[in-house]
Amino acid sequence: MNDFEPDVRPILMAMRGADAEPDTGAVAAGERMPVWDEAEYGQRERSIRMIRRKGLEKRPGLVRTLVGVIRSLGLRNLLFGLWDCVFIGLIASIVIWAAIIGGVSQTHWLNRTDRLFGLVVPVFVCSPALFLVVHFLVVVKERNLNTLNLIRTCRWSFRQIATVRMFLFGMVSMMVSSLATVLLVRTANPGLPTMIILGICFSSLFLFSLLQMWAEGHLHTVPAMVLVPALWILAGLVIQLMRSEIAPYLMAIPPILSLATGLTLLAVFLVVLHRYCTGDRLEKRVENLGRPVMA
Amino acid sequence: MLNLDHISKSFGGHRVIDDLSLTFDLGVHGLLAPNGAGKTTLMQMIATLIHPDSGSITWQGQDILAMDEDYRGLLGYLPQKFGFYPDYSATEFLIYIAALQGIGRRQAKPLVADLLEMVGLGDRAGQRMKTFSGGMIQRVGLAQTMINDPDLIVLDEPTAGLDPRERVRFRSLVHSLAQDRIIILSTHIVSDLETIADRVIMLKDGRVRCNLSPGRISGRLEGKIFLVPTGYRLEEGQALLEEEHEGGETSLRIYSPWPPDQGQVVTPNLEDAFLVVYGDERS
Repeated sequence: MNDFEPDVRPILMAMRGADAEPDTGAVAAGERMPVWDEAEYGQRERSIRMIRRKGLEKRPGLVRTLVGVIRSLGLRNLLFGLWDCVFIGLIASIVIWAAIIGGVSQTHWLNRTDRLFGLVVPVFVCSPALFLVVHFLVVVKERNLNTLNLIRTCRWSFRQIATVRMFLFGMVSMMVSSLATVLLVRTANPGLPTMIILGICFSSLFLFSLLQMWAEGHLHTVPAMVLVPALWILAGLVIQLMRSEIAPYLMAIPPILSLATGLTLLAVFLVVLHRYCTGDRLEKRVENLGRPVMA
Repeated sequence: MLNLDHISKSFGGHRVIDDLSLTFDLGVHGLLAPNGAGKTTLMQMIATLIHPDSGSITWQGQDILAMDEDYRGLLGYLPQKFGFYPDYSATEFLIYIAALQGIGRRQAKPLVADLLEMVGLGDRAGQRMKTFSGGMIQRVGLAQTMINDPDLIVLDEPTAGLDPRERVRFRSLVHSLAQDRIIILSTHIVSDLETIADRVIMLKDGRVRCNLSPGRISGRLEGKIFLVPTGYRLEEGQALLEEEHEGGETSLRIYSPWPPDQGQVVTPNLEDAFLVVYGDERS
């Protein structure tokens, strides 16, 4: 290369066509984006919100999304390219639950508390297993294949597709975990009503799902995928270690309250999915536009 | 018409797109810039994958984010890293994309067959995509951008990794699609645009440095590109573009605002313009 830094400014000026923007830089940006004080900013935000409310069509909610996506895409397209993930998830959870049922059936010689917690802890830790495995495999596969960017530019909103997938994974996990829990209770006969164990199963599954969704909305992919499962295993360990202290409270819980807690968390899960579906179209744009400088 | 109005985008404090305004009409618009100049960021904003920090993008006067699925329904997008499911055939994959674009299976089947024929993959339609070459994959990518008969096609580095023969074939395909559409094609390969682009937009430091037809860009350099012998000492204001080897002889291709001694004026091309604009980034 030459020793000189060539002065290409004249040629750049010459090449700048009629459409090219003048190089006005920060001055122009400053002129267009005034710094508001907090009161002006609040007034402006309220005005924008009102315009958005009046001017924008609302996104469909959970029910309309479920009906629309399943009717138009069908299960075949909803999980296109991901059936292997679903299959592996199902096989993994069958193996996990079979191992637990096999283990629990050998615990007749333990005292009542140990037998009870030999059931409660696996139900708590493993209820979200199917949800976790399938969701994790789907995320990893779609990231590795780079298919997300393409899907997100298609007419069907990826937000809606993701919502329906989460709903499906949640419901299938609930069914599998319920079945496994009932089988476990029948095998181990821990002396605790099935409703309480089912309540623990549903609570664990939907609390896990809610925390997982929160983590994915706020953290990078790897920590988001690791944090909640690690928390769950840790919580399982803590419950196991504190079983003597927890046992009296567990025995005292009315079965209906336990089940109601699980179903309430299911309702929260559905509400969160609904809110995700109806999310504001211009949320990010408006968040980013003209934030005041709070010096 | 697609209009970008004073858009900016920063990542981690680094401004990638800086107060950029552009208008796209029918035809092929080439975004030409070196890697890392903000092409993909700009393309992703047009494809609604990321949002500008400030400014707006409008289609026929409507904000594209507010248009939501209506905008995506008229958009065909080929990402820089085109993702596909290797265990599925091109036909199955395109029928899936058609479903995501709201086209039913019955209607999609003949459409997919036509598109695969158009991109020269009619005889490989049933084969798994993992058996395809890079060029064939890109052709499937181009076919999927056409599935909804879009008004706007965004192609992000579509020729990266293709051999010269495949690049020529790809360019003629793009040219044939451009009759009644807006096509925005980003590349750092000058020859991709020389023959097919109606306008070439050069980006530098997140801003538009040039927005003209390839001919007019070259025309601006008329009388300023010279061949000089090796050993020629460049003066301030001149710039070395490249070394040329012909018939066993080596000469230097330079940019010079004035005729240099022993200099032979040559016809400028788009690559000269690219080197003039981005020369400092190569050194």
